[in-house]
Amino acid sequence: MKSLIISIVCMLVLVVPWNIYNNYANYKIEYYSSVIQHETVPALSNKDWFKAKESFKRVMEDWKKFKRTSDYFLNSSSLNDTNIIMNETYSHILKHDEDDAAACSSKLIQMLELLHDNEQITPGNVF
Amino acid sequence: MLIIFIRTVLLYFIVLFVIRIMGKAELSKMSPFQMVVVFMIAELASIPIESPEVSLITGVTAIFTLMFIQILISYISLKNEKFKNFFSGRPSILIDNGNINHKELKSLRITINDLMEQLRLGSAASVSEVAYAIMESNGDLSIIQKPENKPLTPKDLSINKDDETMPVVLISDGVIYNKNLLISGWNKDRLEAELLKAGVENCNNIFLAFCDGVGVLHIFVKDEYSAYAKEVSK
Repeated sequence: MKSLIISIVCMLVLVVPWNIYNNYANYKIEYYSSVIQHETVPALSNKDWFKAKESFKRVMEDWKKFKRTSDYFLNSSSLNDTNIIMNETYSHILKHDEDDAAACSSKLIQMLELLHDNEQITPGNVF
Repeated sequence: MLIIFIRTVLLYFIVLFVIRIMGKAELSKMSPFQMVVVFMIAELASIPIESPEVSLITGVTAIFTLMFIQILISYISLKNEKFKNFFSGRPSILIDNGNINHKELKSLRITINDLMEQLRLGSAASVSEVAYAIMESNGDLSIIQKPENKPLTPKDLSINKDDETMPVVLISDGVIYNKNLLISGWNKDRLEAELLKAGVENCNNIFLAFCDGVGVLHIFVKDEYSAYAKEVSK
């Protein structure tokens, strides 16, 4: 009975933080996609570089904190890939390269969504 | 490299913890399934060590999940016979009262040569000596010989034997095991007196001293010129 209780506690120690992280990740990914889609991309279209830079900088700073937490739960290679695209997008914004910045932004949104979707409990992911 | 070192140390303790929690029954490989689970745990522990891109929690989750399932199944098996039979299987009687159960042999895909080999390994020269042969759920063959082929025991000869106690180690590498002294009914004074009687003055020279089932002390003393510890109690 003692070992059964210990094994249940071990499972809870993993499952509870994972659930908390999953909710946190859902919220964060939605926030990043929303800022990029509704603030950065329209600012790029309007060639408002200051607004595009400020909105994307906000996402990047928050992403750094999110990545530190996600390193415990997710595969580091997919996190690093997303991080590289994020830095690439930021450098295109700084260079005022509208086309590449917009392309990288949409790629980034896709990567963020994949990062989130790959961890969802769906038949596709399970099998 | 340091990351792999730290991960290996962490996983070493995690696997140690899991094995300790799973208990001796799982390690005794009583059923093939338990053995497979232990191998799976070992294999899973190596994944985060080999692949630094895989998070440690991923490996630990898999290990803890296996531990949880295994303990849960063991626990339910204790309570439910049908459940136990499903997961651990049930023994198969291959020789029943001296008769070979050929249907069972066929269903287990065991040839008569395999059976004969297993009987010989179990010290039965031929089928005629065997009353019962049971294939246990862990794959071992238990052989019960016919009464006329069983070795004689004191009971057969109506000889009364005194009860025996559990043999315990009293001194190992010069260290006296006080707890074992208590268990065996000895005390330090009696032990020292016995050691002196055997001509051993210094405990540090003793490699092994144990009390056998009938309460006789056996002392093995180290010799610096030899690789063997010799018994001096005789």
